[in-house]
Amino acid sequence: MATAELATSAPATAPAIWRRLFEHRAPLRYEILLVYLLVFKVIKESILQLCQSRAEFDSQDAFKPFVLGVDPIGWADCLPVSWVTSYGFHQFVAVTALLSGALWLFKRCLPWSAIVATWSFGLSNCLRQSLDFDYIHQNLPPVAAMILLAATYTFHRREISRALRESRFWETDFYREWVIPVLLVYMGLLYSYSGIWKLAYGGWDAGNGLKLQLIFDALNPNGLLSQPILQYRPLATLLMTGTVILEAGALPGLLIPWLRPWWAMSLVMMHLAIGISMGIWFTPSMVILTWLAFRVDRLPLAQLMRRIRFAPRAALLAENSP
Amino acid sequence: MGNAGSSCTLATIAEQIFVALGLLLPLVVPPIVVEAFPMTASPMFSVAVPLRMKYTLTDKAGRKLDNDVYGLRTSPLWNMESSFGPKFPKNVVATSEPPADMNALLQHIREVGRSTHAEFPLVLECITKGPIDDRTVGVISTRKWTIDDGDR
Repeated sequence: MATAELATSAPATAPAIWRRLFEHRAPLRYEILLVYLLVFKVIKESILQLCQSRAEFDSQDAFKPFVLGVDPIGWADCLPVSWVTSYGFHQFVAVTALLSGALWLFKRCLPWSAIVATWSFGLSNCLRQSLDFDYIHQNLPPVAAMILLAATYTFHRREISRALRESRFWETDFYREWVIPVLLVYMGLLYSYSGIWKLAYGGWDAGNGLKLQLIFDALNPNGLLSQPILQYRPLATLLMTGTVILEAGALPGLLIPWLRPWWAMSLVMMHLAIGISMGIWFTPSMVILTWLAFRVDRLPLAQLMRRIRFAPRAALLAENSP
Repeated sequence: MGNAGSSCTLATIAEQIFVALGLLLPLVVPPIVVEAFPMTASPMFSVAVPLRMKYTLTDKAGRKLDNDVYGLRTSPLWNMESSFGPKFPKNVVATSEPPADMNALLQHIREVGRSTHAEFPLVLECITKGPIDDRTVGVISTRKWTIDDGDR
């Protein structure tokens, strides 16, 4: 069994490394990430958005009297500014994300629920970021991961449909290996660019602790870790230098398999330190890095997910889709 | 590990193109679409901050006036502001450098004060923070200017 070649759906003439990307994978590991994304990002944040009052909406930066205008961000860039600043449109997108996310969670209306949930959650983030910065770009990795999972549900909709109809969802290897390398490259580049730009702007001075001290002093002087950093520049320099090295080396650090858990956990520690000291929590990045570094599907608790049985009629739309 | 239940069909051209784009686009897009990837092309802690200036403007009654209206905002995230959706008024001061022409700054504040019907005289305070020794940061200087309404 150990020597058996894994099934791949890449052409036989393709290079070996390309063929590996299309090896078939069981769904449990990927579905754990999907459940996190749908429950804790799409559904939870849509509900929070729907609970936002008109007064809270109007208190965002974009509506302050001195602001000169709004330049929509990312996917909202092509929309009229009147839509981007409209309370009703924000609520409409949140309702769309909530409903489609719930349908995807229960494997209904596939693959359209996956496509619409990804699109509406991504758009919802761009709309929010267009009105108030507020570190909403922390949702970029979840949106990237959802694009990959929604693409899997689209490319393999017939396999998934058949598996659901025959109640063999957990036994059908419909995921492909490429989801993980593509997400690793995305996360690696996101961090590496950040580190490389720090080096490009600051050169050898990029690890200077003075700027860390002054920014901490401005943003959160009374945070849990702030006082030691503000009082002791060598510590600030050590943390700043460590951050630049960790970020700049993230692409190779995450792509080399034996290095991946160490690098990913170091980045998680960095996010934890930022969260504790500055109150800026990049929780989605921490979850995705942990998911990429470890086989969470081998945990006993994860095996409980295999007991979930989806209704066979959930497959109907996918079966009939083009 | 088996492959029970999967159809073993060849990956479509569309799927292969999607994977190729998925590997290539993160290399190209984040530095270009800066506003969508603010931590990538213009990240926090990327620009040097040798000093930090903090301005406070008050009117005759001691009421604090809005720094954004007078262009006196000094954000530690100023290098990221180009990636923000809301467009703030242009600043007339820098976060980490003293004003090049103090008279021009005071004249600007005077003109904005007149146009917003502020109660003169206005008092501008600038606290400069920076390294006070080789270990800690603190207040280096505090300066104040009184701005009357000129020839009006």
